[in-house]
Amino acid sequence: MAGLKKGLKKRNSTLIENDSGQMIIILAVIISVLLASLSLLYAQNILAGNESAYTQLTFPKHEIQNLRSLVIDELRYQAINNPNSFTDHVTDLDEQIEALYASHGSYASVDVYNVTWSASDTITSFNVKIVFSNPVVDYESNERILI
Amino acid sequence: MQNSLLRCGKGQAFTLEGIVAAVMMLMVTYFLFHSTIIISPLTGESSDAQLKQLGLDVLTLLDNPDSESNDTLQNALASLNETTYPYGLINTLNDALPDNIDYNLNVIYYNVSEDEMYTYHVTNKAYTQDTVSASRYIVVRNSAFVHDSPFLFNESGGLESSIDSEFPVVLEVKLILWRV
Repeated sequence: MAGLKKGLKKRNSTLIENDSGQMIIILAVIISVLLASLSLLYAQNILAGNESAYTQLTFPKHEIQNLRSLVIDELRYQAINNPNSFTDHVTDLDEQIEALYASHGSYASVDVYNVTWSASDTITSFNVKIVFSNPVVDYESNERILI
Repeated sequence: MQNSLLRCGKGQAFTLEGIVAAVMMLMVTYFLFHSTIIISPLTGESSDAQLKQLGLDVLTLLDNPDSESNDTLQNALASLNETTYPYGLINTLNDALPDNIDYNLNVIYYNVSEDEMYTYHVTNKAYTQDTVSASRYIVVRNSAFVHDSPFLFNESGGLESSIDSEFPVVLEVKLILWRV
């Protein structure tokens, strides 16, 4: 009789008084937290992908490498083979580079100074200043080139 | 109170299910953490970045002033005129790029005396909306060009003998790529 009363009491208990199924509730909470963490990670993953792609598209690493190798190789050639026209050709090179890079919204320039000559009228060394600038990067290098 | 939380032996399958789910979640977390350095293939920008990198790689490959091959940028553009098409360069580009990618090759140069920018269209195909461009700058001296080259710089505008043969002409080789 007492057992029957207890059973009836449990069946009639309200949602708040019912204390069964607590493990399920705890696990549900844990899984909810994990799902929220995963959502955050997923969002970060997409963000990192977007940022990487954007950086790769806009960062002018190749332009700077290309500019530097092009200028140094050409100036070295001109210094060895055309020392008398060296300054004129540096100016011509600079004008073309400035115009071509400006058409892409960048600034690039080449300047040569401290040109040293040997007794036989050949160039022995010079300094070259290469400047590259765009809204993302400012680059400047000064190098001493020995012939 | 006999069925307290600690003494209760019911619902063991739920407990196991919870543990399995937790382990699976941890494995997925581990995978995601290690995949963040990869450019997400979910966006159009990442696809463009890959295409641009491909274009830059191909142009770098073809920029070889020391080679005597007719498919380098320097040699192909030096021998270019109205009648000579750079078949060697175009064939190499076709081989180097995947079949699902089409391209246009333009050469942009600046005439110092005229203060004017010119574009020479080596190929002129119809574009799609989503294109990516990759540029490479090269220097070719006047002496390397054929006499009727569009890139030859004749400052005086006079006879061929008066042309400065060592004048450095800077050319921007622009590869415009798109997926087909």
